[in-house]
Amino acid sequence: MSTLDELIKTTGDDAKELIKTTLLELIQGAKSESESVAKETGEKIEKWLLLKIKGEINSDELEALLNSRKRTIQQFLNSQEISIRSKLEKVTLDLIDLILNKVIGAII
Amino acid sequence: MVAKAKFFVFSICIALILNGCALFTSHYDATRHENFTKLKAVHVKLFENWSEGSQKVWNESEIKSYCEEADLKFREAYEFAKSKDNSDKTGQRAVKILWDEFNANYNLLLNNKKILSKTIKEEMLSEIEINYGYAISGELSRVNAPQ
Repeated sequence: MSTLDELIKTTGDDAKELIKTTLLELIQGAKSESESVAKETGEKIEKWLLLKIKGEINSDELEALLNSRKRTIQQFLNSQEISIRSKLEKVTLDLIDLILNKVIGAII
Repeated sequence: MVAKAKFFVFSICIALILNGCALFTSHYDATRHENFTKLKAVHVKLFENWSEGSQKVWNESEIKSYCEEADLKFREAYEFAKSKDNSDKTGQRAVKILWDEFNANYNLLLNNKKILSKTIKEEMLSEIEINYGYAISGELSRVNAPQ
Protein backbone atom coordinates (compact mmCIF):
# COMPACT_ATOMS: atom_id res chain seq x y z
CA MET A 1 0.00 0.00 0.00
CA SER A 2 2.80 2.42 0.78
CA THR A 3 4.00 2.43 -2.84
CA LEU A 4 0.54 3.21 -4.16
CA ASP A 5 0.02 5.75 -1.41
CA GLU A 6 3.22 7.58 -2.30
CA LEU A 7 2.52 7.48 -6.04
CA ILE A 8 -1.04 8.75 -5.65
CA LYS A 9 0.04 11.59 -3.37
CA THR A 10 2.46 12.85 -6.01
CA THR A 11 -0.06 12.90 -8.86
CA GLY A 12 -2.52 15.70 -8.04
CA ASP A 13 -3.39 18.79 -6.04
CA ASP A 14 -4.73 19.09 -2.49
CA ALA A 15 -8.35 19.35 -3.64
CA LYS A 16 -8.24 15.66 -4.56
CA GLU A 17 -6.84 14.64 -1.21
CA LEU A 18 -10.18 13.55 0.23
CA ILE A 19 -10.91 11.30 -2.77
CA LYS A 20 -7.43 9.80 -2.55
CA THR A 21 -7.76 9.15 1.16
CA THR A 22 -11.16 7.54 0.73
CA LEU A 23 -9.86 5.40 -2.13
CA LEU A 24 -6.89 4.21 -0.10
CA GLU A 25 -9.15 3.41 2.85
CA LEU A 26 -11.53 1.42 0.65
CA ILE A 27 -8.68 -0.57 -0.91
CA GLN A 28 -7.17 -1.23 2.50
CA GLY A 29 -10.59 -2.26 3.84
CA ALA A 30 -11.17 -4.71 0.98
CA LYS A 31 -7.68 -6.19 1.39
CA SER A 32 -8.25 -6.85 5.09
CA GLU A 33 -11.58 -8.68 4.49
CA SER A 34 -11.60 -12.35 5.44
CA GLU A 35 -13.64 -13.21 2.32
CA SER A 36 -11.01 -14.13 -0.28
CA VAL A 37 -12.84 -12.52 -3.22
CA ALA A 38 -12.95 -9.14 -1.42
CA LYS A 39 -9.26 -9.42 -0.48
CA GLU A 40 -8.36 -10.39 -4.05
CA THR A 41 -10.39 -7.43 -5.40
CA GLY A 42 -8.54 -4.97 -3.15
CA GLU A 43 -5.16 -6.37 -4.23
CA LYS A 44 -6.05 -6.34 -7.91
CA ILE A 45 -7.41 -2.77 -7.88
CA GLU A 46 -4.27 -1.60 -6.10
CA LYS A 47 -2.12 -3.31 -8.75
CA TRP A 48 -4.14 -1.88 -11.67
CA LEU A 49 -3.99 1.65 -10.28
CA LEU A 50 -0.23 1.30 -10.02
CA LEU A 51 -0.04 0.09 -13.63
CA LYS A 52 -2.12 3.10 -14.73
CA ILE A 53 0.00 5.57 -12.76
CA LYS A 54 3.17 4.06 -14.25
CA GLY A 55 1.65 4.32 -17.75
CA GLU A 56 1.68 0.57 -18.39
CA ILE A 57 -2.07 0.58 -19.10
CA ASN A 58 -4.31 3.40 -20.35
CA SER A 59 -7.64 4.69 -18.96
CA ASP A 60 -9.75 2.49 -21.26
CA GLU A 61 -7.81 -0.59 -20.16
CA LEU A 62 -8.17 0.31 -16.47
CA GLU A 63 -11.92 0.76 -16.96
CA ALA A 64 -12.11 -2.56 -18.82
CA LEU A 65 -10.28 -4.33 -15.97
CA LEU A 66 -12.56 -2.83 -13.32
CA ASN A 67 -15.70 -3.84 -15.25
CA SER A 68 -14.20 -7.28 -15.76
CA ARG A 69 -13.71 -7.61 -11.98
CA LYS A 70 -17.34 -6.59 -11.48
CA ARG A 71 -18.45 -9.47 -13.72
CA THR A 72 -16.11 -11.88 -11.92
CA ILE A 73 -17.78 -10.95 -8.62
CA GLN A 74 -21.23 -11.42 -10.22
CA GLN A 75 -20.11 -14.90 -11.30
CA PHE A 76 -18.82 -15.63 -7.80
CA LEU A 77 -22.19 -14.64 -6.29
CA ASN A 78 -24.06 -16.74 -8.86
CA SER A 79 -21.90 -19.78 -8.05
CA GLN A 80 -22.54 -19.23 -4.33
CA GLU A 81 -26.30 -19.13 -5.00
CA ILE A 82 -26.10 -22.43 -6.94
CA SER A 83 -24.10 -24.02 -4.14
CA ILE A 84 -26.51 -22.90 -1.40
CA ARG A 85 -29.63 -23.98 -3.33
CA SER A 86 -28.06 -27.38 -4.11
CA LYS A 87 -27.04 -27.95 -0.48
CA LEU A 88 -30.54 -27.01 0.64
CA GLU A 89 -32.03 -29.53 -1.77
CA LYS A 90 -29.68 -32.31 -0.64
CA VAL A 91 -30.32 -31.65 3.05
CA THR A 92 -34.09 -31.41 2.58
CA LEU A 93 -34.35 -34.59 0.51
CA ASP A 94 -32.08 -36.50 2.91
CA LEU A 95 -34.28 -35.38 5.79
CA ILE A 96 -37.46 -36.49 4.00
CA ASP A 97 -35.89 -39.84 3.09
CA LEU A 98 -34.91 -40.32 6.71
CA ILE A 99 -38.44 -39.61 7.93
CA LEU A 100 -40.08 -41.77 5.25
CA ASN A 101 -37.72 -44.72 5.66
CA LYS A 102 -36.95 -44.74 9.38
CA VAL A 103 -39.01 -42.42 11.56
CA ILE A 104 -42.50 -43.18 10.20
CA GLY A 105 -41.76 -46.92 10.21
CA ALA A 106 -40.68 -46.72 13.83
CA ILE A 107 -43.68 -44.62 14.92
CA ILE A 108 -46.32 -46.56 12.97
CA MET B 1 -56.54 -46.37 9.83
CA VAL B 2 -55.62 -43.17 11.69
CA ALA B 3 -51.91 -43.80 11.09
CA LYS B 4 -52.51 -44.31 7.37
CA ALA B 5 -54.47 -41.06 7.21
CA LYS B 6 -51.64 -39.23 9.00
CA PHE B 7 -49.10 -40.68 6.58
CA PHE B 8 -51.26 -39.65 3.61
CA VAL B 9 -51.57 -36.06 4.86
CA PHE B 10 -47.83 -35.94 5.62
CA SER B 11 -46.96 -37.15 2.11
CA ILE B 12 -49.26 -34.62 0.50
CA CYS B 13 -47.64 -31.81 2.53
CA ILE B 14 -44.15 -32.91 1.49
CA ALA B 15 -45.21 -33.12 -2.17
CA LEU B 16 -46.69 -29.64 -2.00
CA ILE B 17 -43.55 -28.26 -0.39
CA LEU B 18 -41.30 -29.82 -3.03
CA ASN B 19 -43.44 -28.85 -6.02
CA GLY B 20 -43.97 -25.32 -4.88
CA CYS B 21 -40.46 -24.77 -3.62
CA ALA B 22 -38.59 -22.24 -5.75
CA LEU B 23 -35.55 -22.54 -3.53
CA PHE B 24 -33.96 -25.40 -5.44
CA THR B 25 -31.90 -25.11 -8.62
CA SER B 26 -31.50 -27.24 -11.73
CA HIS B 27 -29.33 -30.33 -11.43
CA TYR B 28 -25.86 -30.83 -12.94
CA ASP B 29 -25.78 -30.96 -16.73
CA ALA B 30 -22.75 -32.38 -18.55
CA THR B 31 -23.42 -30.36 -21.73
CA ARG B 32 -23.66 -27.10 -19.79
CA HIS B 33 -20.36 -28.00 -18.09
CA GLU B 34 -18.75 -28.80 -21.44
CA ASN B 35 -20.04 -25.51 -22.89
CA PHE B 36 -18.16 -23.57 -20.20
CA THR B 37 -14.87 -25.25 -21.09
CA LYS B 38 -15.40 -24.73 -24.84
CA LEU B 39 -16.33 -21.06 -24.40
CA LYS B 40 -13.28 -20.53 -22.22
CA ALA B 41 -11.02 -21.84 -25.01
CA VAL B 42 -12.67 -19.49 -27.54
CA HIS B 43 -12.37 -16.55 -25.11
CA VAL B 44 -8.70 -17.16 -24.25
CA LYS B 45 -7.83 -17.53 -27.94
CA LEU B 46 -9.10 -13.99 -28.61
CA PHE B 47 -6.29 -12.67 -26.38
CA GLU B 48 -3.68 -15.11 -27.61
CA ASN B 49 -4.41 -14.21 -31.23
CA TRP B 50 -4.34 -10.42 -30.90
CA SER B 51 -1.80 -9.46 -28.25
CA GLU B 52 1.97 -8.92 -28.14
CA GLY B 53 3.86 -12.11 -28.78
CA SER B 54 1.27 -13.45 -31.20
CA GLN B 55 2.05 -14.27 -34.84
CA LYS B 56 -1.04 -12.33 -35.91
CA VAL B 57 -1.10 -8.64 -36.84
CA TRP B 58 -3.94 -6.12 -36.38
CA ASN B 59 -6.71 -6.97 -38.84
CA GLU B 60 -10.12 -5.56 -37.99
CA SER B 61 -12.13 -7.72 -40.39
CA GLU B 62 -10.40 -10.87 -39.14
CA ILE B 63 -11.15 -9.90 -35.51
CA LYS B 64 -14.79 -9.15 -36.35
CA SER B 65 -15.15 -12.45 -38.16
CA TYR B 66 -13.65 -14.36 -35.19
CA CYS B 67 -15.93 -12.57 -32.72
CA GLU B 68 -19.07 -13.12 -34.81
CA GLU B 69 -18.40 -16.87 -34.78
CA ALA B 70 -17.70 -16.74 -31.06
CA ASP B 71 -20.89 -14.75 -30.45
CA LEU B 72 -22.92 -17.55 -32.04
CA LYS B 73 -21.28 -20.09 -29.71
CA PHE B 74 -22.15 -17.96 -26.67
CA ARG B 75 -25.72 -17.57 -27.97
CA GLU B 76 -26.09 -21.34 -28.41
CA ALA B 77 -24.74 -22.01 -24.90
CA TYR B 78 -27.06 -19.36 -23.46
CA GLU B 79 -30.14 -20.83 -25.13
CA PHE B 80 -29.16 -24.32 -24.00
CA ALA B 81 -28.70 -23.16 -20.40
CA LYS B 82 -32.03 -21.30 -20.57
CA SER B 83 -33.81 -24.46 -21.73
CA LYS B 84 -32.51 -26.37 -18.69
CA ASP B 85 -32.96 -23.70 -16.03
CA ASN B 86 -35.27 -23.64 -13.05
CA SER B 87 -36.94 -20.37 -12.10
CA ASP B 88 -33.74 -19.18 -10.35
CA LYS B 89 -32.06 -18.82 -13.81
CA THR B 90 -28.58 -19.47 -12.40
CA GLY B 91 -27.50 -21.46 -15.47
CA GLN B 92 -28.33 -18.81 -18.05
CA ARG B 93 -26.97 -16.08 -15.77
CA ALA B 94 -23.59 -17.82 -15.59
CA VAL B 95 -23.35 -17.94 -19.41
CA LYS B 96 -24.64 -14.36 -19.80
CA ILE B 97 -21.92 -12.99 -17.50
CA LEU B 98 -19.25 -14.71 -19.63
CA TRP B 99 -20.91 -13.56 -22.85
CA ASP B 100 -20.97 -9.92 -21.60
CA GLU B 101 -17.30 -10.27 -20.66
CA PHE B 102 -16.42 -11.52 -24.15
CA ASN B 103 -18.28 -8.63 -25.80
CA ALA B 104 -16.55 -6.11 -23.53
CA ASN B 105 -13.15 -7.62 -24.38
CA TYR B 106 -14.01 -7.52 -28.09
CA ASN B 107 -14.94 -3.82 -27.82
CA LEU B 108 -11.72 -3.06 -25.94
CA LEU B 109 -9.72 -4.68 -28.74
CA LEU B 110 -11.67 -2.86 -31.48
CA ASN B 111 -11.34 0.53 -29.76
CA ASN B 112 -7.61 -0.09 -29.20
CA LYS B 113 -7.04 -0.22 -32.98
CA LYS B 114 -3.91 -2.31 -32.40
CA ILE B 115 -3.02 -5.61 -30.75
CA LEU B 116 -3.12 -5.58 -26.93
CA SER B 117 -0.04 -5.15 -24.77
CA LYS B 118 1.43 -8.07 -22.83
CA THR B 119 0.43 -6.37 -19.54
CA ILE B 120 -3.27 -5.98 -20.34
CA LYS B 121 -3.35 -9.48 -21.84
CA GLU B 122 -1.98 -11.01 -18.62
CA GLU B 123 -4.32 -9.04 -16.36
CA MET B 124 -7.38 -9.80 -18.50
CA LEU B 125 -6.54 -13.49 -18.83
CA SER B 126 -6.19 -13.73 -15.05
CA GLU B 127 -9.72 -12.30 -14.63
CA ILE B 128 -11.14 -14.57 -17.32
CA GLU B 129 -9.53 -17.63 -15.73
CA ILE B 130 -11.12 -16.78 -12.35
CA ASN B 131 -14.51 -15.99 -13.91
CA TYR B 132 -14.72 -19.32 -15.78
CA GLY B 133 -13.42 -21.06 -12.66
CA TYR B 134 -16.41 -19.78 -10.68
CA ALA B 135 -18.83 -20.73 -13.48
CA ILE B 136 -17.45 -24.28 -13.57
CA SER B 137 -17.31 -24.68 -9.78
CA GLY B 138 -20.94 -23.50 -9.64
CA GLU B 139 -21.92 -26.21 -12.12
CA LEU B 140 -19.96 -28.82 -10.16
CA SER B 141 -21.74 -27.88 -6.93
CA ARG B 142 -25.16 -28.83 -8.38
CA VAL B 143 -27.04 -31.96 -7.33
CA ASN B 144 -25.87 -35.10 -9.21
CA ALA B 145 -22.54 -33.52 -10.25
CA PRO B 146 -19.68 -36.02 -10.66
CA GLN B 147 -17.58 -36.29 -7.49
